[in-house]
Amino acid sequence: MSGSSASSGYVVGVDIGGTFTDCAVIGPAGEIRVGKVPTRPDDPARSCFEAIEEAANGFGSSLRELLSECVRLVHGTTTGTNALVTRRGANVGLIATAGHGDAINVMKGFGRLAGLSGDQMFDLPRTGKPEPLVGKSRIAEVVERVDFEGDVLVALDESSAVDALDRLVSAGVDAVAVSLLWSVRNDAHERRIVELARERYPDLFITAASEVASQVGEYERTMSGVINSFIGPLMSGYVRALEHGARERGYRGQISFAQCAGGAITAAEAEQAPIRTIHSGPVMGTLGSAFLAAQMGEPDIIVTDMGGTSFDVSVIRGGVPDLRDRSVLERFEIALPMVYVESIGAGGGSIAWIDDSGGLRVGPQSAGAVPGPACYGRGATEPTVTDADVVLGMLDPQSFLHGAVELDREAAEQAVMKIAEPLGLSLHEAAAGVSRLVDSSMADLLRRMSVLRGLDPRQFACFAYGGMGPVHAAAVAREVGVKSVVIPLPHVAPVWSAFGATVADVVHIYQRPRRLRMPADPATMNATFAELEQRGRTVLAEEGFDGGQTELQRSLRMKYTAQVFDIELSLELDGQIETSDLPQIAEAFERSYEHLHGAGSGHPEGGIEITAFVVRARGLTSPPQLGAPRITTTSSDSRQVYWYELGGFAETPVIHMSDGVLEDSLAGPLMIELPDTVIVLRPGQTARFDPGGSLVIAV
Amino acid sequence: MSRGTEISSHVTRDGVLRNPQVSADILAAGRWDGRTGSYIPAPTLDVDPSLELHTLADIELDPITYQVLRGRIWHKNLEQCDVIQRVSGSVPVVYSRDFATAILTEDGEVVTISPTVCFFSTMADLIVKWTLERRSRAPGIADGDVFLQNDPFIGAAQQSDTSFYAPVFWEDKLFCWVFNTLHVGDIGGVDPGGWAIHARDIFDESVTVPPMKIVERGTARWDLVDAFVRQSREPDGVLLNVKSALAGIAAIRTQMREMLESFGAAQVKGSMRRMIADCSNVVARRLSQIPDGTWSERMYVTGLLGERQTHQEVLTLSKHGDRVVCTNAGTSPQGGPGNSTYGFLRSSVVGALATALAWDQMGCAAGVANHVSFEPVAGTRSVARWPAAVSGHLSTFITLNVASLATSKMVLSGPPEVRSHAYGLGGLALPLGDVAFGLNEDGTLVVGTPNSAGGAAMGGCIGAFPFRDGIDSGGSWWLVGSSAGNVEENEETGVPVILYRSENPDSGGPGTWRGGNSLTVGWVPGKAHIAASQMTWADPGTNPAAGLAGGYYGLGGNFLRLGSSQLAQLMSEGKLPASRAEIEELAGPLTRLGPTELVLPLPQGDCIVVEFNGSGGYGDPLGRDPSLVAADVRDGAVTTGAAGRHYGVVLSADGEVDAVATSAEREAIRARRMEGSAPFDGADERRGPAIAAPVLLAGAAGSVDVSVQDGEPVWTCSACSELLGQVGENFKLSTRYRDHRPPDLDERMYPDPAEFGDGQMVLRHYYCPGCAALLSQEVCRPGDQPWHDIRIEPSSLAP
Repeated sequence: MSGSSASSGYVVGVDIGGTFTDCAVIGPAGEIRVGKVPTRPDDPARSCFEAIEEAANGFGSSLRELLSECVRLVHGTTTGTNALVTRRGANVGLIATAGHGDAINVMKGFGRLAGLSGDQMFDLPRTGKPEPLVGKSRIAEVVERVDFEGDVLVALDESSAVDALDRLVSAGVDAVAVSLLWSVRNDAHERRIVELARERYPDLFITAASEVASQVGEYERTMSGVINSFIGPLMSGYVRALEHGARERGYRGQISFAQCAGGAITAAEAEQAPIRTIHSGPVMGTLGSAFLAAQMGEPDIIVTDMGGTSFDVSVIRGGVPDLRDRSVLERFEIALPMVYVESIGAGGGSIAWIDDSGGLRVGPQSAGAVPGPACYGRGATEPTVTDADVVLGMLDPQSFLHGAVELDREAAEQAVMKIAEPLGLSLHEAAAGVSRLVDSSMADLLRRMSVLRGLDPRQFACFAYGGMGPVHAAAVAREVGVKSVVIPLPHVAPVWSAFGATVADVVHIYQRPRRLRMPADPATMNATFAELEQRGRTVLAEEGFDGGQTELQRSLRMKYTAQVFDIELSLELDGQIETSDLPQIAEAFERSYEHLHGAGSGHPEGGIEITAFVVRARGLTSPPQLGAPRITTTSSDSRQVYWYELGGFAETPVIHMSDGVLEDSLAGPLMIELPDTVIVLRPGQTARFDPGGSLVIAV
Repeated sequence: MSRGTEISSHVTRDGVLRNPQVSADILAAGRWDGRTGSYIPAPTLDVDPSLELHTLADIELDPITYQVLRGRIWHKNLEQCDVIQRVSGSVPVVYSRDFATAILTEDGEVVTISPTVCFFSTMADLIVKWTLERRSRAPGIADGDVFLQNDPFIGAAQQSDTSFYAPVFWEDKLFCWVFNTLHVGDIGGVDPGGWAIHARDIFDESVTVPPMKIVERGTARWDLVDAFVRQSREPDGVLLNVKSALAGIAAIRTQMREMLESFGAAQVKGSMRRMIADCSNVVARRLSQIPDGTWSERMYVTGLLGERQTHQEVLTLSKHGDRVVCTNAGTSPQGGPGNSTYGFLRSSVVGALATALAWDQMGCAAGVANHVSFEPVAGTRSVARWPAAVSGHLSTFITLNVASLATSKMVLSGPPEVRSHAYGLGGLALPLGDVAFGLNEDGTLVVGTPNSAGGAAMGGCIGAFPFRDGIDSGGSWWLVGSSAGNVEENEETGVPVILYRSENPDSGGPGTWRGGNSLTVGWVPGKAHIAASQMTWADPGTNPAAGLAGGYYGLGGNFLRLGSSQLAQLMSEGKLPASRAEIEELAGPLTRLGPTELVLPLPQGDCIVVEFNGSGGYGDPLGRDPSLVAADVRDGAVTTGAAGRHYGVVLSADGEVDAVATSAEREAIRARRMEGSAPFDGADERRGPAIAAPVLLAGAAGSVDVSVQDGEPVWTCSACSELLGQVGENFKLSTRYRDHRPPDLDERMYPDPAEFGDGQMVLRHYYCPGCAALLSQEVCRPGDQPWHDIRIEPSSLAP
């Protein structure tokens, strides 16, 4: 890995999604070129190079020329997520503390409902647990026990560990997760079993759960370990194929991988802890937004990404994305620091349907990429959001996705008529209804992420990207009342996550769970931080970052003793912590807790405690210097578009452009068609390009 | 505009409920005032004229705006849950989700409830209506007020389940109500924790507070809150929960006002009324697809504490067209701890009907309530009169059980989609919980996670459905979204060291579809200075975890104790037993505990084992696909012994089904059934050999169909078409039956009721006289007539 400056060559970001592989390349002069190709499910590494090649062509270069001058290649992938969704991962065995191997089946008694929406929870017979990743016959228990303070109650019986390993291997597992109770307070037994496994079965992929998830709570930690092992062998193969392919094509650097906690990790770490790459695509989009927002002088933004199947929202405050530690992945709960991206099933493919009481509903079922909306002409007949947009005139059948896909307007109309008739509405009223309902449910999520967490949306700009984001953002934003909508670098917006990858620093997170009541002993605190910081410095040095390119960031996880939620508090202090610093830490915690959970949410009466020490070790990469946008040439025409707020059609100007910016201020109703998306300005809205090249819509 | 076909006169078209909860005669005859008797509102509320209600509703608003608002109202209510959880951050609220939220119309009809504790929010209408009738005059109901109440004779399962609710005003008129209920924790009484199992009457229980204004026009009355919190043994925790409830109310009230500003009052109210009307229409349609009839459940339960008295609880649903009338007639007189009230009975029935008939209606309880009325018999265990003791949570659980079972049996004769919403009883069918607590060396009290060491009671399980197995450790139908939490979170108190927490093989009742398995836990004292376990329970020998259609009862439940400090020594030698069998092998036999043993100081090295009740199966286990049994054995869900004993499945050494031996074993079991059973008097006149009659309603009584013979509807066995009498009669009278001593069927699953409870109790099996299929089961006394649980009105069956 090199921390060398980006200005000397190309910086490449790639995001491999389920349907498309996106690429953004920043050239030596700060110009951006993009590539978008279909993902090859059987050979995603090849899609990666095809996408880079398309972007290289935009620079007038070949793939080899570009890669040979590439200084950084950061890569986000859904390989892990897809393996999980399709259940095509490793045959995993689990080693657990005697008496507790069932934790991943019990799923805390909540597994029947985890990951379901509230209204799905009422339908008792349609609820159930997901198919387990580890069958009961592949769970082995070992004799050992540590208590909540990390004291050993029963020493590890190594023979039982060896027996467990042998039994699992002879049962045909090709990866193992070891997850013992309280390994976050004392991981000696867990580490010893990993050692034994490496001695006996050097080729076995093995995960110590406390290495990937260091929080109290055995179910989420075990699941994190299991998922890591489940996707591990596949990711190892993929990482190696990618590295090999890149070398063959002239790239001399190391590939780094986007991670879900923000930032990038090395290929070696991605092989060892592939779970960190889960959901890295959406996270990169958030990071790219944070980067651009900082350049625009907007510290507080709400980030939205609307694609084919889902609508993702995250929040950035003071330039920093909100994080969370627990999330639900394919209906399994995991504990992993992740950028907090909340998602609902609302996208272009979301299906509109009539419920049993005769009411119109949209989603969460999606037509997906195949067969896709009815207008794709692949035989689907259910009406989707995209079909409604075609009927309304928001999407032009001739110029969708560069004109690469010609949409079937008649199929869209037929599909929408299926809901219009029972509702007693006209075709266009029904289509407008679908559009308004999906806008409304997206607005609900935005409110939930802002207002209900004590944030005032009027203080926030809303970034909107993804193929469908610019189509719907203006309506959603108006409903929520954010101060403005930003379509970041419109020609890059459809590959925004790939762009986000180009700005990622390398980040390692080291966490040491340790429960200390406040006021804690400063000597213990200093020693714990020192140990974590030393680990961070060593690893970054090995990766080629010198002292000047290294940043160590301390934080504490803290909670009110009477309450269950702990939060991460960044510390400004980087020297020795003194007793006199402790009151400030406690006050900062109280402020931060209320900031996150709302005014009056803290319960100081029972005291405050530290639950863990965290150090983020960053290898700083030079941020890309984006070139000034050029004034672009456009063509324009107009077409009939149905606006629900006007209750009918209006002849609407359409501007066609491929990149760059327009000088003039724009007024809605107006459509701006770009190769991979359409920006919609609703009636009464105005917009203008900012100096950096993003379109800012006044809501 | 289409709103589906309205098929009945009882549907509310304007979303205003006209169904009186009880008839005028019943209302006149009792003192249903929330004082001596439970509160039952008259159809027209007596609200002081000084309080103006905002009634303007545009129910014909355009369908898109309606859907936008419908979604918005639903989400706002869920968001109140988010706020409560975030602000409380307490274990019962975050893990057990022991709270609920609701939004109500100005006149107290429940528009939407949260997917949490169903019976909290389905009682909200009673609470709000009482408040409108009794508080609108003085002290008045004004903008900015918040009320607190926990009076079980108005609407609460027990006093710890305290409600907080507030009017939302618009244009100086009362527009709607926002509501939540939280299990706030201990608020006094003879027993710590709120389940007053020693209570002789309500005066021994936690403080009972009828609706009291704790926020007056936006100003909190901390003096009143303080008076409430002062009753608690854990005031910090209670105050924390009160604060979170108030934060939830404040947040949702602001949001409702914003919605009103954006859409206008007429559209918002129109959407609320329309949600009720739509739900009513869906419920009516589904009810109308079920033939008319009467479905009744009787459940015996042997009381809390040491009282060996057995109570019976009866609940009967009579359905005609799209209306259901419910009565508790036949229930034992009130007495002892753990009675319950009308409010709870009604909320259980509305909750059970909503689960079976309105699963897709965004929790609109009023649309369900519109179709059910009551004929309550007061002075009974399930509709007690003041000052009966009510906090012990015995009759409450049993009421939920009988409401759910009667409803499940009713929907069995519905069309497939409705029928699929029948299920056997499961998690928390029996009030069986323990609280581990201890003292630190400095004398401060530390309490483990409530609801059992390891939180395992909350792990629950779901009974089997007519088309699929139940769900292992799948929670409970009425406590939606509860969680057992992690073992580590439970141990963090230092009280228990949990030796094991796992799904208990064979705890789910055998059946064609197997009931879900429940959890079992073994724990030893941890580092706390003194550890103790307080138990709350009824005798599991009188098993409540019923199945359907002949499916077996689940495990009744069990508390066991080692009674020596043997384990301390063993653990110091590096031994770690990880199951009940290993404890017994290493440390000696466990002793079964009786309900008299409530609080046990536990020395180091001693051990408590709890096996929570499992869930009921569906259908005769001999009808289960043998390969599913083999898979269950492979996964450890069913033991080899049970596979043979109950399913008649013989497995080879490598776990494969031995088809020939299985077939022979199943035949042998059928032969034993015939041999060991006897017909009822006069059975021969009723029953007859298999008939080649067309089936009119398959599985209308689970394993029994309705067929047509000579133009008359008759019961026939689903397996062999044996004639089982006229549909107007109880088909069980045409069967052969056998009364089993429960442990004779399965010693592990069915503890002997004679040990601690009612020694007379038997598990009765009803077999088809033609093919020996197991058609039904019930817990009863030997002399009991077969319970007539399913009566279908012959005249309502289409020929």
